[in-house]
Amino acid sequence: MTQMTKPVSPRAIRRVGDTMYEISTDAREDMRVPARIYADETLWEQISGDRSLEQLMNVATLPGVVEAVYAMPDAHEGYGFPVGGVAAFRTTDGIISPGGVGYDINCGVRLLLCNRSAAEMGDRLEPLVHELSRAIPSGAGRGGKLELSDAELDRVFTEGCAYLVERGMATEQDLLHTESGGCLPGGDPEGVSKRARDRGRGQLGTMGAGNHFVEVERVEEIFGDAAAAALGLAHDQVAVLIHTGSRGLGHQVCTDYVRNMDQAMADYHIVLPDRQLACAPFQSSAGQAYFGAMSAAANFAWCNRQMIAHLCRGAFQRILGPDVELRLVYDVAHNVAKVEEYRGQRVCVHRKGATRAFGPGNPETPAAYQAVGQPVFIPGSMGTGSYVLVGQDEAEQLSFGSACHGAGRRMSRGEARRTKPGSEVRHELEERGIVVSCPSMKELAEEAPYAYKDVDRVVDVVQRAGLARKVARLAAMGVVKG
Amino acid sequence: MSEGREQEAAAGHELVDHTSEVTMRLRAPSFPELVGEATRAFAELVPASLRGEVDHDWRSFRIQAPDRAAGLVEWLNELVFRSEVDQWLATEVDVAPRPEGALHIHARGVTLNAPFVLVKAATLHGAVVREGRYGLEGEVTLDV
Repeated sequence: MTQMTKPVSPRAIRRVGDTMYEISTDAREDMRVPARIYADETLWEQISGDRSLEQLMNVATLPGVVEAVYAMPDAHEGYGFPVGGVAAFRTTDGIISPGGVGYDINCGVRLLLCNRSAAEMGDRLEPLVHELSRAIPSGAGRGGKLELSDAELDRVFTEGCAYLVERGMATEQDLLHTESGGCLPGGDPEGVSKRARDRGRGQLGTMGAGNHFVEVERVEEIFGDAAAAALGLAHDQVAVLIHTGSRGLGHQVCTDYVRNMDQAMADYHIVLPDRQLACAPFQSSAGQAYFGAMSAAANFAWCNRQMIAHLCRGAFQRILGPDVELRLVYDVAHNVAKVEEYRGQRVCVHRKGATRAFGPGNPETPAAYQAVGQPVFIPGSMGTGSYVLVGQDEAEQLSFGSACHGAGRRMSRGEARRTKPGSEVRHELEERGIVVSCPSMKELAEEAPYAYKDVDRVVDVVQRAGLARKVARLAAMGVVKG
Repeated sequence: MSEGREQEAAAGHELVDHTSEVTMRLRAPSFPELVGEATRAFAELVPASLRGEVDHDWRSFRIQAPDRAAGLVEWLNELVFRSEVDQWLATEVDVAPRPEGALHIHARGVTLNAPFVLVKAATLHGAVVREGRYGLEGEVTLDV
């Protein structure tokens, strides 16, 4: 069941401090908790310019929602939840919603550090970018290096990255530096449909199209010496940023369960303001079935990024020599639902286009980073730079331990294409010394820097709000797109 | 304009792109024709460079959904799956409504040179089929 919604009244909006706006429950009768938006004036203008606020308020109506729903400063309109949305629901009587995770389950980012400086790269950058583009299957659907049987896929779904240790494509150290050790417990192979398996079977170790990428970076600026030292970051150091997710497998899992829950909504007597928010009580058989399938897809995504890291290691050694190493700093998910505990209450936290950002001392933060906090990576667009941050303890109070996930699109793909042709975008990047490997000029135009929000501004708000603290800024040297 | 020509003009579609999705706006005199229009709109998203040989064989599909909007979404998700996994794109459909909201769809089209992966899914977000000036209007948003 769905019902129509009205635009938000300006009277229900108030600015709370320097970096937050709040929409009170007075705005709509069906809101159970307020909606809080992390933004400065400029980002507020952008966020309130589309349907993000309405979507966030819709989320605030869902059963079992606690405290408040949040939009990160990179938020933009999605379908169901806004992208950049965070909400937590009681596990006792709250819901779980596939639309609150999104289609690209466990889309995320990992950062690897190289034991070479940019200065030491010499003239090997262009051959390296070309070798990476040859080594990593990109956008055209399948073509992964592993064609997995059903039994092997089941092990990926249940064991996550630990399965790749056995296959020689990951190390124990990699697992320690991956969110949740690269495996959500409870990944249920039975919950993953044949269609999802068919879409994902040949896609392990593939990047995908759209905004997914592998970038060669250099550490351009260090903001916090102690945190940088803990993470092993040094000025001018070469790094690799990998952004991808669960590919067609995750898309199909979401499709399957949105359909199932949509058809079962009447049974649960839940009235939805948007059908894409289809959900089920977390404790119900439908809710648990989705949670198991989503966990399986999340584990597939971690394996996907791990395999790409493995392929990157090979490419670096072939071009720069056998003693070159790529050490995993961390891997974070930004589309996932996880059970966590806040203020004595177990909740299912939905992060859709938002990164977990736990502070120092949290048991989930790896031992090596206990003193500084969990690493958080905020990729900008091609050519505008990316950020490394660490989570802050305050984030647990302010946003269920969450920060933003990127710069966030501000332009549609069509508008970006009409603004400038891909050839011109490529030329501008090359003039700045950035080597680009992208099979499609159209895609290059769609992913141009001006199509995204200002990442510096987004990260500045995250830091001022106390969600995460800046550690370093990375500058792209080479970009490989799907 | 004759009545017949007016009927022709009543069917059509447009693709409206937003920050991270594409919305199909469809119109047609009847629901089977609206499904045909959605098929054409989806095919328009597939680059010409991906298209291979014409496949003359008709394929049969049965779509079951609680209402017409969900049926449209279900059919588009079938097209998403077929174009990615089977590398097959429907370009022509014959749609027969069946009792209790089911659709029986015969389709034929072209093979694709590579999987089409631009579209992740058709969503229920704002999905609607309603009465319009010439028959029916529909909207479906695709996650891209």
